[in-house]
Amino acid sequence: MNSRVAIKTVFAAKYGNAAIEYEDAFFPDSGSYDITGIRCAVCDGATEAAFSGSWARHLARSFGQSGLQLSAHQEIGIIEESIDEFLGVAREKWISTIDRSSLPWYAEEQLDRGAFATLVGMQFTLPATEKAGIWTSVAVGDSCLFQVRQGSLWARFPLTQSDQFNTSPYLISSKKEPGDDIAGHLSFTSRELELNDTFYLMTDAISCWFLKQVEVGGAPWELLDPILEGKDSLDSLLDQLRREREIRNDDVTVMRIQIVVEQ
Amino acid sequence: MTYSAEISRSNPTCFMFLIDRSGSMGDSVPAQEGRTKADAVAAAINRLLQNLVIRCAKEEGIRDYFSVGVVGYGDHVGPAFSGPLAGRDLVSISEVGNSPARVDVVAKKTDDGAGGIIDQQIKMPIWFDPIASGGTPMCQALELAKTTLQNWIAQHPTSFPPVVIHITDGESTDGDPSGALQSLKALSTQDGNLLVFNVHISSETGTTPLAFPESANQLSSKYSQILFNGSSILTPFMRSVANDQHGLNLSDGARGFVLNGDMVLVIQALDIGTRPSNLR
Repeated sequence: MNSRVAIKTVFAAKYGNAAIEYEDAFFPDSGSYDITGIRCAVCDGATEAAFSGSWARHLARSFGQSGLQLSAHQEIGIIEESIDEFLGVAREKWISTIDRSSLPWYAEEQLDRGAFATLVGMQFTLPATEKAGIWTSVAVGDSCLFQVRQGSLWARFPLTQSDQFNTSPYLISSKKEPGDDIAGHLSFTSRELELNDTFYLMTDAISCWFLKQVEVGGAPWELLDPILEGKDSLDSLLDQLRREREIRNDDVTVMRIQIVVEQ
Repeated sequence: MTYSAEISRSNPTCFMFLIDRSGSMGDSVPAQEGRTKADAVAAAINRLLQNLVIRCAKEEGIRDYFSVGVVGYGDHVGPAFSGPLAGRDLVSISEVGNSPARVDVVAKKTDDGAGGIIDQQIKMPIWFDPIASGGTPMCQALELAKTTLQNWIAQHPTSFPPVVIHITDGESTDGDPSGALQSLKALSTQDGNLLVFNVHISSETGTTPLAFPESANQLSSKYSQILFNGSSILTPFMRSVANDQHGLNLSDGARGFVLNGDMVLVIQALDIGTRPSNLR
């Protein structure tokens, strides 16, 4: 028996913006991956800063390609140190990709002010012969992870209720300022995993809607799954939700991760 | 009339700065010997334009959330941009960002993040130069602003209404500006009346600083009273910016009027007047 994950992501830019102005990011691309080697991430670049889309893409990819090992048995202090080290490398690499001399004065100033993004990332530990394992996740900001098992919401992380969303969460900056410490802003969790579980990583606006639906007894994944399978359109759902003021006008990203057992 | 219109590229808003460039603006700023009022106002306007551009700058360029105009009055009345934008009455914020008259580079000492201090080169774009010459044809300037903004409103009837920020130190030399101020305030979009701020940098000695008063009771000068009456009541969002971010304590009737020689209050007024509530 060999376990893999089937990953599918759908996304949309904020209503009124062009597709190129989408500032969320995700890693990896849709596809099938070996479960033990994969790290998945969704990031949300802050609207107020100029380079946030680029920083969010870099952060998601760097997390996915990092050698980070998030173990269920590590203490939060150790996890924070690992993430701090990972972010130090990610910041250095990102800034080295930008040619300052080619930038107009306002872009240089924006760069000096920093770019900002959330991160929710996860990885799996599943012995090849087992039917159960562990998933671990880290999060900074209000992008969320949901675990669905047998038609019900099994886990929600890091936010657990729709009224916890506000417009100013702590964000990861592309510049480490003096006194700016990830400690206290990083959430970490480790839970058990079964083979038929489905996971969703989402940015804030759709996460808030998702939790509101759950709070009134709904099963929002039943609306999202046909979209992820290409049977329905994300734009149609968002048009309806925005018209009914059920969702804030924002970029939207939904990544679904399904465990697939190959015999 | 709710001042709630979303400010977007398809529904932008407009900021107009009316700047007194008369001879008396060459006097020193109180308590800052050697620095003229014209220098201080030009520095404040350039810094504000810089912040407006940065607020709209994204990876792909500058988003046109605002149109901006600068009208000067002194020797003559007219658009007051220097450089490539000279002679233009209203320009989009992307044109402002991409067409400064020049970019000065100044050294600034900053924290290096490791306990040390380093010299950092800061770019300071300049669009507006200090001039202090001639009379104070305030009525003519207000009339020009009105005509320009009437045209803008005709093209943007649903937008958040324009904000006019008028900075002067003196008395109008072409008549009583009360009527011109009232007719400017009377312009409106479907989202509300145009918002007028008057910043009076008085040269009178012994003038008590006053920021965003609700009444003219404390104003002894006739010109301060005229400018107060020509100032709009702040929107709830502007009041919240003033109270939350500038430590003021304004209530419902506060007006966009500042009387003082202190540039800190001038800069506060500029910030409060140009902070959009609903930028998308």
